[in-house]
Amino acid sequence: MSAHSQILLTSSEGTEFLIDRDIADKSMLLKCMLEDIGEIGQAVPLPNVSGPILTKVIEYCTHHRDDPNFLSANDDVTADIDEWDLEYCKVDQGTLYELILAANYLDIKPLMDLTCKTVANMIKAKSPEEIRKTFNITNDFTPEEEDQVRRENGKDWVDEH
Amino acid sequence: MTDTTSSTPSPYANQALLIVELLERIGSHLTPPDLLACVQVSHHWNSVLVPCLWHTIDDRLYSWSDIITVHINNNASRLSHIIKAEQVAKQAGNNSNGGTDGPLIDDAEALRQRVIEAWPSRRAETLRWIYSVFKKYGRHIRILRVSWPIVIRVAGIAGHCTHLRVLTIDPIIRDTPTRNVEEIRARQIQNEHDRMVWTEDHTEHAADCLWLWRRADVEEEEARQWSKNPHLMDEYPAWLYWGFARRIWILVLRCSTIEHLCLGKRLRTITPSVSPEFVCAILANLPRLKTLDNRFAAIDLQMLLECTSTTRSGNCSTKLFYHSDILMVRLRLDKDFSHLTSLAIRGFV
Repeated sequence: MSAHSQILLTSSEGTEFLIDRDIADKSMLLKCMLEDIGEIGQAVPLPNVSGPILTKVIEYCTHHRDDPNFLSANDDVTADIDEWDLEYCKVDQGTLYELILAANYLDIKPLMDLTCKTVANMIKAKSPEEIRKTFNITNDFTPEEEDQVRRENGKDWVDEH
Repeated sequence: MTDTTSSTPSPYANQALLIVELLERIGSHLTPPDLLACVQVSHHWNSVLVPCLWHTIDDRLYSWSDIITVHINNNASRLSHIIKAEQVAKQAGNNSNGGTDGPLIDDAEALRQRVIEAWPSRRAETLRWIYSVFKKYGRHIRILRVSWPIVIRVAGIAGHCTHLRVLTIDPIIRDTPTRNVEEIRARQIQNEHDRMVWTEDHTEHAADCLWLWRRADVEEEEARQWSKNPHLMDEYPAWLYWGFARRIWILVLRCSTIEHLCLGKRLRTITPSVSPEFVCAILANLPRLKTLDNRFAAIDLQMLLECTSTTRSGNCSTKLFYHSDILMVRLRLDKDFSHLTSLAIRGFV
């Protein structure tokens, strides 16, 4: 199998994307599929991923194409996000969620970790009400339930030592 | 920090954040204080993230004295009038001194201090709280690292911690800030008694640990009664005075899921009357055990290997290294546990 072979992908709108095989291999879904059925010379349809999002995903995979630690890069949950990745995630919330869903669907673990970490950063140091506001979540707790949840889990916890 | 927070909420938010796996993944990047905020967001977030919040309990990171303080602070409104009354009484007694050090009950820090001082008398209430949270959330705990006896006692009660993967017991910290002479004496007598029963029982039933289970059943009933009966509110539960060593073994017995077991270095007091057979019988209940750090006692290793259910007999060639934390001795043995990869022992073989 040539390292320079190329793969054709089709986004949900039918837009075609021609990418290098090594970039496609960053996605475990595509990698396994290509290994299983071989390169059939036809476009691979990705009905769950829109064109703009697929462009973003390809941008990510291309930037990290020669990254030797690609699969273990984000294993350290406390590690800081590097500068390029940080810039990459400066998108509106809708795009960010679509990226998470695409990373999940295409099974690209490092992108998954990066986007989830970005969402986690949006949660940090916020009150429950601020979190609801940020993510447009309806509070379905009664005041009593809310109080109970806080009391029961409140072991956890003040500042670390 | 990204500036994504400033954008308007998107309809996609709910779609992505409703997927349990994704929310769990997001939760794995958060620390307990943030997770605590998350579980208060909605029922859905609560159900997904409570297991994340309770996954790891490490009381070296989160001191129980602070946790208890948080709890008491949450009940501050109820407690503050008690404390206030105390202070008023005190002031009335100290009127001749001018009484310039007036109560600052509205000040959080001052209240915290007063609450800590008042803590020994609120102990039963706090125990009840720890009991009830472990009862409700203990099954989510996978990693338990403790040095507070009270936590080990509560964790060992049936149904509390049943899915531990890692159990580490650190050198024990006294579970009360101050203790009076009578309490210490009562504890000593209890310990003597426990040790006696322990020795006597285990010589008879070492193999099946029946006696241990029998005691455990009694204890469960005691704990249940205590947690439900409001008249016992201010009494200490009977299970609090159970032998501490027994508590640890019961906890181990109840968690057949344990993969890593480490009993801290200074825990020699828990082993004086424990025989290798007894330890073996308990370890035989841990089919997934990978790491055993038994620096607390010098157990006959050959015996241990032969008695344990995970031991493979015959000419097994799997490598198993024992290492000593002092001499770094490495030995290859003829027999092994099917999963055990690491065993730290005190001194040398």
